[in-house]
Amino acid sequence: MSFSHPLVRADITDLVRSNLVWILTALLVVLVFANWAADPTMIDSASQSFLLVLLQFTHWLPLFAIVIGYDAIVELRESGRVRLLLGQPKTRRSLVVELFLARAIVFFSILSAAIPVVLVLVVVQTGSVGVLEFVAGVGSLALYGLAWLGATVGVSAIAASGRQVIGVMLIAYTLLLALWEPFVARVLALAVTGSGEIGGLIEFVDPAVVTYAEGATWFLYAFRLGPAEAFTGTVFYSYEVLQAAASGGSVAVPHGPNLFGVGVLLAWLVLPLLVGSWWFQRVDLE
Amino acid sequence: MTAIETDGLTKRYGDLEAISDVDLTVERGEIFGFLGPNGAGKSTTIDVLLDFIRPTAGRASVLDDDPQENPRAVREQIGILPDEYSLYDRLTGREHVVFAIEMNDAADDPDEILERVGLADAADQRAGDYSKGMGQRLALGMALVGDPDVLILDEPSSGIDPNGMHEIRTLLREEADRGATVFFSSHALEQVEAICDRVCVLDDGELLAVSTVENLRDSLDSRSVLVLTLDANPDPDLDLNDDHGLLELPDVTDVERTETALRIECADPGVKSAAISRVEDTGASVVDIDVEQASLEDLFAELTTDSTEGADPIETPGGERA
Repeated sequence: MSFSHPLVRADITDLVRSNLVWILTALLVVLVFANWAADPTMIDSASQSFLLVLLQFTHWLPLFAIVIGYDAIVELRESGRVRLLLGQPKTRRSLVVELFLARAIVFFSILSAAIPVVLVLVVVQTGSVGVLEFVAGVGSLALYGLAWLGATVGVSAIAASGRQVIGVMLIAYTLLLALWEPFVARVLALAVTGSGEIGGLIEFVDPAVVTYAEGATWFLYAFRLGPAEAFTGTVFYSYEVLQAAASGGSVAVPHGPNLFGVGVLLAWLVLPLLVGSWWFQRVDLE
Repeated sequence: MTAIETDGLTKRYGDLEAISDVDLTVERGEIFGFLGPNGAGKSTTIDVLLDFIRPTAGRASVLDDDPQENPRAVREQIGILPDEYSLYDRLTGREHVVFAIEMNDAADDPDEILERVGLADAADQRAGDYSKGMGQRLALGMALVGDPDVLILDEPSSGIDPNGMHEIRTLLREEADRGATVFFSSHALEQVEAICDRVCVLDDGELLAVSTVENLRDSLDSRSVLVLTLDANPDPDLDLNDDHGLLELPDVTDVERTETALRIECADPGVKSAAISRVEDTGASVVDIDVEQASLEDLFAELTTDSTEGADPIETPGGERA
């Protein structure tokens, strides 16, 4: 593998030679197996099994992105390596962009070890996985992972220590993922409707069917501000769009909230990186 | 065109002024030593030149480019050995140099660079296994990539053994011979004295002097020490407290007597011949005359301990208004 960017290659080489990358790869594969072994019936012959299985990554993948990305920039400052790198013909902005790129490549390498495992499990149990299902699922998963990685690297460019990055990202993980539906979304509902109940606002049936497009309009948008909800919507929405494009049919679910969900993931990817890069260009590197 | 120029360069951290109104000009092709005790502001000044930190006031330029406005253009023309850096622990020495070559789009031979900095035998060893001195050599090698017009080195001798320091002096002289400007800070005063065309002394964030070592010595060291070796015939009645009447001379401030020598401190160098005559008039036979010069270390100590805040920097021939 050859890259034209020496900084990207150096960062990847350094990471790959650490045990961490191999441990994370093994851990992700083990998680996929363990999850399947705990409940083999999660893969049935129903359509979109591959997409449903990919949803298990919703809670794991952010943690992997955080571990891979948290030290991308802040470690350079803590160790002083940034001084060595900025002795080369580089700008601070290009440093942030290229180190994000390096971490993204490592992240995808780890993910690419787990995807074939999922694929094999689904094919063995159901007989096949459609190309469109695969493309929609892996594409959405990649975007979801990049959203968390972008946010993490952005915070890494701002924070003063690795611990700060982990602290901020764990708070984000808790609020945007673990507590999003049971707490944050209910607070949103309470603020708008006067009631903390969200059951009437959205139908939690089979996400493969609902595609998160039904319910009160404002809530469909607000709910997708959480990256996990945006990811779930994007998985099934993108599959429907691809199917419609391939067959010449129409998309049954409304585009607005689902495109908004895609935009939310892109925003989580880009905005923290922009803010982090802006900050990093102005800060004293002592 | 100047290699490095600062104009009223100031960096404050809250109430603390790390450097204050530093005006400095380094000409192209010079080897310029940047001296000062710990905390004097040397690294702060270098960090501004490298755009690691932003000045509170004033400006800096490297090869007529502002490092803050055009950092990439500056970095394309300089090689740096920064303070408190770290290497990629899991990359080898050769990989580091190849990395620098690719970053600079240069055509250097990595093995040749590693040979120059004395790391040919450790080229395939991971940098994480290097000693401090080896790491310093590697970082210096990376700085040499692409034949930069200006080398900015923060304490290049840090962690280097005496033999290595000699090698680094040779290397820096070679770089200067090919036309590069070498700007380096150091605590190793003998190293600075050995190779620098000019030095500046910084203390407490203020520039105290800029000059050649010789001119600095002349301007500061009005005191000189005359050492007279006397006839070796031991005098049984020798009085080690006998000053030969030297203390009666104006500008002789101290006399130390041993069995075979007189060490005479003169406040004015012009009193030396009178001192020699006075000793010979007392019947002693002077067989050798030596004048001790103050080392750069002495000058450095004198400057940094006698400095008065707000005092004008020293101007000497060969220097410029600091």
